[in-house]
Amino acid sequence: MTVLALLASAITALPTRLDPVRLFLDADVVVQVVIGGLLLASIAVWTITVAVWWKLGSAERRCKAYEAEFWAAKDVDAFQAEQRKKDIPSARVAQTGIAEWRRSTGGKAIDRDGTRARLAGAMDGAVADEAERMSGRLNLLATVGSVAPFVGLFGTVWGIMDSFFRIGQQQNSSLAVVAPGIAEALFATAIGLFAAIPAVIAYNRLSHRVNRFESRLFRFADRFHATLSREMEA
Amino acid sequence: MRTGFFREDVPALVIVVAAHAALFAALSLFGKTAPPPPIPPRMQVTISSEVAPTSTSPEPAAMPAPDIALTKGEPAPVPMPIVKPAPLIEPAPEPVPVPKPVLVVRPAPAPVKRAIQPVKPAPPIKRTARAKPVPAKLAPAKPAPAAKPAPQAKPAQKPVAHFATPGDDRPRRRPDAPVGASMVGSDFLKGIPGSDSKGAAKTPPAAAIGPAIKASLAGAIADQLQPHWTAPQGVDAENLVTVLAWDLNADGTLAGAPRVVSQSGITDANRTQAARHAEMAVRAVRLAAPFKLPAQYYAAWKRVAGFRFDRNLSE
Repeated sequence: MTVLALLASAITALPTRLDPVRLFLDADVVVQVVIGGLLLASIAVWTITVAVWWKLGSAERRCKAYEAEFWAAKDVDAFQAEQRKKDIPSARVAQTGIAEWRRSTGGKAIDRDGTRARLAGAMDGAVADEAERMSGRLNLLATVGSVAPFVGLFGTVWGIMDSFFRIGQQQNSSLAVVAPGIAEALFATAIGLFAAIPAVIAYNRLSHRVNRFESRLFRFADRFHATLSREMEA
Repeated sequence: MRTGFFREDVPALVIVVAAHAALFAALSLFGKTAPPPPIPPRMQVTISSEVAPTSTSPEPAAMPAPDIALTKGEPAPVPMPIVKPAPLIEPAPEPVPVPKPVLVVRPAPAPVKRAIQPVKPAPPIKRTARAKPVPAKLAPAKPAPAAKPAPQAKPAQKPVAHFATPGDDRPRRRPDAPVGASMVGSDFLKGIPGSDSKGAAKTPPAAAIGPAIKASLAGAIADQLQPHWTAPQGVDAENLVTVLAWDLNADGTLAGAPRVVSQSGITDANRTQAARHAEMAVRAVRLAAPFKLPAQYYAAWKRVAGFRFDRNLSE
């Protein structure tokens, strides 16, 4: 009789729809921690994605505008002084090259090969620096993309263990007793996938864009290096 | 600075947190609403080994018998109103209940009354009495009810019941009074089941005890015995079956000691347990008394003729 009454109350208390907040609140504390962590991971993934996306977009746009003006500029030093305040990766690469060129050609004797090598090295370093700045936080996307499903799975396994334990305690294997616990447990895997899928997509997409941005900077650096190299011969 | 925060981080974080919150709010507010599963009605199933060939419940739909039976030797009422009035004196009252004002002249009450009287005394009187104050309006419609009761005995019951209602102060005759040739009063079926008139008995007839009731009584006895019954343990002890019989008083207490009717399932292995099995069964009955059983079925449970105590009862 008590089992029947319990069952009846369980049936009447069943949620009528899939409410994530309700699922979270009903879950075991370990599952709650897992879900909370995965939610934070999802927020971090999306924040990084959106921020890097905006950053890359604006950087590419400004580099394009800057490079067009740079090649058209008559007085490079004045142009550089004008553009210094702005946050432009190409400008920083060019500034590194100019600074290195100034230092290398400031003395009496000019070692042209050495200067070329130093120029190339300095500007490559600047380019790598800029690319690294962009891709620095993408590794978090990769980490979340690969680990979040496992974390969610851990929450699910724990939740299912917990609900089996509860079934054993109640000595009742009716679906009304089993189902809510398993639904709460599976919610952890759902959140894990919810965090992981955008992370993987964003990581691939952003890595590709950062690579493209880096090649663009390399092309600019090579072209500037060629210009400076020609300058030395003159 | 290399992996430091971007300027874009703050608005991105705000947007992303807002989007997550919106997503979960939307999921919890407008989530797929599954209709609540209907709770299946729980029914008590009793397994009865008996099959009732006849219903034990009264039939409310059964039509009451006619008040007055035909007397032997009387002419059949059906042909009379049709044959006699039709050709001779006046237009016959149409047996069809459709009112036809053109064809049907209001029939004189005499022939109809004569025709009907053997069958049913009341309606002609009523009809006559009612038709007179308003001849113009009611006259065309009247032949129908007058003609209808003649061939059929069944509707004749209705006006009698109608007459019995209080407050009807129109002139009438006592429905009980024998009229015409019939000496049988309309109350001759009083007290017979199926009759619509009240009998003289003050209490309803004894409840019929069908197999369903017997099965649920057995279930109720088993329910009350179960907490007190534990089968002895041992090799082959689950095969032992003790059948007890006992008598009960009307208040559910035991009348006399329970008797062992039979024991079965005794093997060499559990022979030592058999006496104990019977003892435990008797003890269970003694502990379970007084039994709480419906008093109106006392006739069914005053003697529990044979109740099986086996392993199944304790589960």
